[in-house]
Amino acid sequence: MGKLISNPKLLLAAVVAVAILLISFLGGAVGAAFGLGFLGGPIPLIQLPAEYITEIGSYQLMNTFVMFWLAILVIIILVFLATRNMKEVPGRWQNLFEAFFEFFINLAEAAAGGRRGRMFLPVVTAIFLGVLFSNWLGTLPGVNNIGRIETVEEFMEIKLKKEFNAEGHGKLAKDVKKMGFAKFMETHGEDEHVEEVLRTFFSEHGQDLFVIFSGDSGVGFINLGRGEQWKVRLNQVVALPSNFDDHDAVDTFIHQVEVPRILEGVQPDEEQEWTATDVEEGRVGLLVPFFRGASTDLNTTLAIAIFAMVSVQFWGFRTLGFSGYAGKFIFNPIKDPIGAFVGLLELIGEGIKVISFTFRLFGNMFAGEILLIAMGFLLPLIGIIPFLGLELFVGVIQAAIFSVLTLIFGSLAIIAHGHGDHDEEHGAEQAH
Amino acid sequence: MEALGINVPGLLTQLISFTILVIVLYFFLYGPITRMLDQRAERIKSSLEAADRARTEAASSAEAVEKEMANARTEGQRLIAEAQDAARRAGEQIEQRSRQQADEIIARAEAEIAQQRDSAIEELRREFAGLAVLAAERVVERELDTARHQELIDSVLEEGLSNRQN
Amino acid sequence: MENITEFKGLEAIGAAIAIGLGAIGPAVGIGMLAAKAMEALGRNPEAADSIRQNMILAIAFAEAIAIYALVVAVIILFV
Repeated sequence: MGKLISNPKLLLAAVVAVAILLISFLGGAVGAAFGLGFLGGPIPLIQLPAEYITEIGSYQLMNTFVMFWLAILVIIILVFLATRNMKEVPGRWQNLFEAFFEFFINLAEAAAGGRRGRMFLPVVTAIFLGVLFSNWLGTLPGVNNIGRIETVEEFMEIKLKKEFNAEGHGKLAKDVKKMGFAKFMETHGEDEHVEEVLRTFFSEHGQDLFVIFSGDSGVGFINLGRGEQWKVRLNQVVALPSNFDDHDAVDTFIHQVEVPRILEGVQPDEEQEWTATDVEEGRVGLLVPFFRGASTDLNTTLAIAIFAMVSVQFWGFRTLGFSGYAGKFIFNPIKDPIGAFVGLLELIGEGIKVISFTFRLFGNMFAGEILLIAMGFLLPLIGIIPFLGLELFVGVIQAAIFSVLTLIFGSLAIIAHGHGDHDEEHGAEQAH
Repeated sequence: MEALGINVPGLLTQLISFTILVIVLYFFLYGPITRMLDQRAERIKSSLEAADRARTEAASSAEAVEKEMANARTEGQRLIAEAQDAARRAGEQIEQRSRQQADEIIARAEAEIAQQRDSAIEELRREFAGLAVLAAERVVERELDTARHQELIDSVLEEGLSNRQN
Repeated sequence: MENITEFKGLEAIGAAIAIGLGAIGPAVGIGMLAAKAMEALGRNPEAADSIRQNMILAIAFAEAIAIYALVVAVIILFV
């Protein structure tokens, strides 16, 4: 303490650190409870499915696909750097990849016993690199907070289309898609199916939060210093037609806004800094990020898991032959009823492994993303820093687990049934 | 499934993307790197073997050198001994010869001395003869007595010789 | 209005219970893992590297259970 006071630089650093901590604390979610919260941004949309950036025909280009392709690109660039100029005395990148491969070669040869373990390597190392870079790119700045603004109208259009499809009104879904929400309401507003769907929709989503973005570029940011007043609820922006207002569920929402038609004359709130023009010009809506960590999409993790387990089956069939490998799962139920049952369980287990792979990676990375967002709100300036380090660490660990487990399953698959029982039990324990 | 975000086009996209990644890595990373690693392992193995061979060779050659050195040493010692022997012998020979020569010289000197003495004696004898004749003349001048003469001559000779010798 | 609020509230309670109960098992598991790892470390400090590696791997497996619970909670909340 005496050292701290005698050294002016140290003292200054300590004061600055404490000040930043205090400012973050007051500006964040805790300060917001006391009417401060000047650093808090609008809460981004947290949802499980990935968001699409554009639609090409009926194909939706998701932000996670872009991120996955970016990860692949980064890997290919690194590989190019490493193998462009292969030398007996390795350069920096070559050395890195050689050490990486040596690690996996040792692991594979230890697991499978000898050189045949090498057949796992192409898939296992690709899984490691793919998962690692998907995870790591998800922690880059700009991921999850720069994106396209999905306006309220688009939001309604998409949701209604989905609802209509779910209810079995294919024609209405098509119309909504073709006309846009406002026009659709003008023409189909009196339809009783529409009324029904809208009523249930509003009872579920009326309280959904939307963000008011600044600027008019169509590209939105989530940044510091907007706080609570930059949020608006769906039922404040979009009102139902006046002839709906005799229904109970919708009633309260309608009276809050007191406008007869959708998107017409939206009432600017006295306390809130948004106007009807903002809504009309598409500045109120949801942020659809251009980039989202590839492993926070179940499609990605499921794809890698399927690839891994298909590879495991392939290795099994190739090493043991068709009857040899199939014989591990299928028994004659009359001769060996217990064996048949166990075989069936193991067959199911192979499917469970896919699901386990999928949700382990997805859960970890998605939870990490939410954790980062939460810390960003709790301590806006600095809260995220230690958790970014944690995320990088978790990224490596998850990549290692995914690839090493694939390796272990593969080495179990190539063991013939007769003397493989013990190892299989061991592996099953490890898997769950 | 829809609520979780899993859909067929997305799944296919990611599967295809990942398959492409695996294929690219197989050809451009796995192949070259394992080849390089194997190559290096092979090379390290062969160079280790070579080093081993070189070491045994070096060891054996060191042994040979040692043997050679020992040989050389004994050879040298032998040569030195021989040389010493030869030197000694040569010294002895030289000594002997010089002694011989000295003896010869001495002998020659002695012979010469003897010869000179003899010749001196001869000369003396001749001188004494002359002296004797002289003496005889003188005696004759006085009285001629043969016996006395001879006695006289001999005594003169005897006297002369002993005088001469002394 | 009341119905909706009630529904949202039940959702929140469900999510909280899901992650709360789901985290108990993994928490105990991770604690036991770490305890055993420390014990092993005390007995055999030379094996620190392999103990650490295996501990992290095992913790990740235990943690995955909590993650499943979290996924369930998130699904309840957001889907």
